[in-house]
Amino acid sequence: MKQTCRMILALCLPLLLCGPAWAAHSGPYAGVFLGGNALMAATSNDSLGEFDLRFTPGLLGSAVVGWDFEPGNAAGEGRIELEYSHRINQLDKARFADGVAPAGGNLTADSLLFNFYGVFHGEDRSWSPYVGAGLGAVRIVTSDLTVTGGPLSNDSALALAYQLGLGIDYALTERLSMDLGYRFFSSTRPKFSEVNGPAFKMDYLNNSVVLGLRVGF
Amino acid sequence: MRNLLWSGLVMAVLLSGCGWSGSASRPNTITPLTSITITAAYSTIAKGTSVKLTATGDYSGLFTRDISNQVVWSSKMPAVANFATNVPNRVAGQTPGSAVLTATMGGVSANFDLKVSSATATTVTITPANPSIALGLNQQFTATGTFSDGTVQDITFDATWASGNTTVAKVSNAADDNTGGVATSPQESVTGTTTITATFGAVNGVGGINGSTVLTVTAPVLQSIAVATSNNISSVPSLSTVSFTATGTYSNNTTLDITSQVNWVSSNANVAPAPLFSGTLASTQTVTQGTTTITATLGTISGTTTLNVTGGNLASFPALTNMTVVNGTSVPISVTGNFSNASARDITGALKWSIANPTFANMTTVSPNRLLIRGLAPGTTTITAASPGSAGQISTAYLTVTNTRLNSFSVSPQAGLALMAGTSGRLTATANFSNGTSQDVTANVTWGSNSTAVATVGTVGPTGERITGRATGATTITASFGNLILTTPVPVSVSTRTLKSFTIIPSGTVSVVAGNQTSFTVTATYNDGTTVDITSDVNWTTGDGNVAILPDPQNQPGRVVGVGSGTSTSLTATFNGQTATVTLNVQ
Repeated sequence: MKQTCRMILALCLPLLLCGPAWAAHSGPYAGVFLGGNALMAATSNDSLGEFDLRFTPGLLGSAVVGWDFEPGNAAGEGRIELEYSHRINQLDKARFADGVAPAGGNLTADSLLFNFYGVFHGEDRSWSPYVGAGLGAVRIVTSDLTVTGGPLSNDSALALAYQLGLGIDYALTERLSMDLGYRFFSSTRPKFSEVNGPAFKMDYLNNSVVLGLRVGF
Repeated sequence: MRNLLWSGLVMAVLLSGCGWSGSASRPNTITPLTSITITAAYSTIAKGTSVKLTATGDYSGLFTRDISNQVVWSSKMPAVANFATNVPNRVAGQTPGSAVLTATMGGVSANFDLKVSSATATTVTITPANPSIALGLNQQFTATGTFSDGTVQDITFDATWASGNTTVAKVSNAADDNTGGVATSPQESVTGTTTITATFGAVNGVGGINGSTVLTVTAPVLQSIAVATSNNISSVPSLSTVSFTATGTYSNNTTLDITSQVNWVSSNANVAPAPLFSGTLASTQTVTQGTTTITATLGTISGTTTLNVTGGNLASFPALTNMTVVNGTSVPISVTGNFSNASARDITGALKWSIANPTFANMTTVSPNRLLIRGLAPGTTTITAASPGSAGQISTAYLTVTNTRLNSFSVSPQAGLALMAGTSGRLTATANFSNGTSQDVTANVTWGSNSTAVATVGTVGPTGERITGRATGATTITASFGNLILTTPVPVSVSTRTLKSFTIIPSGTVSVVAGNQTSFTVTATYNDGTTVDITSDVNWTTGDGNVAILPDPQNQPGRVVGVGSGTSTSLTATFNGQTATVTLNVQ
């Protein structure tokens, strides 16, 4: 199995790096992404004190529509887009003053962001690195969060969200490109009600790696 | 590009947050309680005594917690053993027998079997025996009963407590675990002894077995020491004199100034040596910039404060030059020091001065930076100035006191002064001697005003005798020196105008270097457009003495020395109820 993977990589990498150089697309585009996300241990506070929630890595899916600026555009080379993303993570453990306890339930985040990416096009290559940032809103849902079987929270909250991202576009054709990227996604601290207690606020800091396809029109 | 990719990957790993950070403070109130365990000091108690039960909750096997105050306690045999109302987890034996006690919480419960015996108390012992406490402190006593069946039991909660002399100490008979058997000697108590008694088994106050001990209340003892600088500042320039006070707080909550009793220590003598007590304060002179902790200790009690010294280290000061002063007259002396941070300031008052032969001359400190040398007898001696610190600079010069005859003296300006009411001007006097020399004798002249309602004479400063206009009118200022009287008194006219405004110059935001002296002036503008320098007439203040100070407001009005670099404060001049302010940024 390992050998097969190595062979595929050995064959694909030269193709990716040495493929034909396509003219940079300009105009509208749409795309879909899939990837994995890791939520950082979330420091949370309520009126009883501070506690931490740790989540297992989960999946990320997103869809984008946007506009590629023309090469040489006075505003800079890049693209602006509207992105909807869905992230899901399972609560794994909770740490209180008494120690760490097993936990369960899902935390989902649906976000809508305006992103701007600066793209560094090259004349004789088909891949282009990009870096950018986004701003928008996120709806985070605590779905049946439990600690040692006891209910913690089953609520949702809206928060302001932002995202920093970087990656590489690889032009497969003049209109189709593949995108491998990293996203750091965070929000203002959402506030959730507890099932049997006061409301708590928690951090939401997420790291994601995504692979996607974008089609230009 | 490769660097960019690697940066992203590294950032992703760093931010992935695989572990916990910080510490949690919230108790886990979510994990379900699965069992309760009840424990007690005794499983059998004598009738009339009590025991406290402890309920420990086990939460799903993850952790345990004392839930004694959260469970609901109940007795299946209340006639045998029942719970107290003020301490819910304390159960008292009512009659001999057995009782099942239950603790319940969240649907989980546990039982405890308690037996009540018919044993009677044979002795009561109070511990500690014959203790002493300082006035204002408390003493917890414990009563232990020995019973007829040979058992021994803590009956502190069950005994009746009494103090034989309540002016010395009282003892609490409250039926709770925190104050029962606690003897107190509040502030209004007196020192002395009292007998503390614990009685068990009395019926309506009659009978029972008791035990006693003697409690001695002694004079209050020191509990803590608060150290403070006399002006509550923590930052000063080098070569500054800083005074400290030590205030002790005693066991009866009284406070006392113990500045003279404590032992003073400085953690860094290079920054400032240990303060020495003199008069009412303990003072030290800062040497180099840095931080030191000043500690005051009395017995085993200590208090500290931190002193931050800024303004650079003294690099040098100009060598003294030989001086001549006429016998019976005074001359000022002034020294400016150069510091390691390129600042310079007047250090006259910071140097240690000495005159080799004090029969020829002496020195008088008029204000922090104004020093006068007065000739006492003809002759030649030496005057020495030394900077503080083990590696301080020393400079010596000859001081000659001459014996010459006074020929004449004059006052300047001869034309006199034209003052606004409330403002002041300066006059100086110069004497001419038979040996052909002349000398400023302003400090030695006797000044007077022919109408103090119009103008008054004040103190002598570096720029002359201060004449202050009081009300509209005209007067003359007289002056006499030795056996001479000024033949033509100096005219002074005082007028009154309405103050329009006044301004500190330089204005706005002014940057000053820590340790450097910067001079400000104030110019007043009157309704007729007249402008007058009122630098000496305003009251100067800085907003925060830790940021900037006025080293000698009496003789150096408007002179500021920066202290706390990187900070800012206000410099305010107040005159006739109005204020003007500039901002000082200390670098």
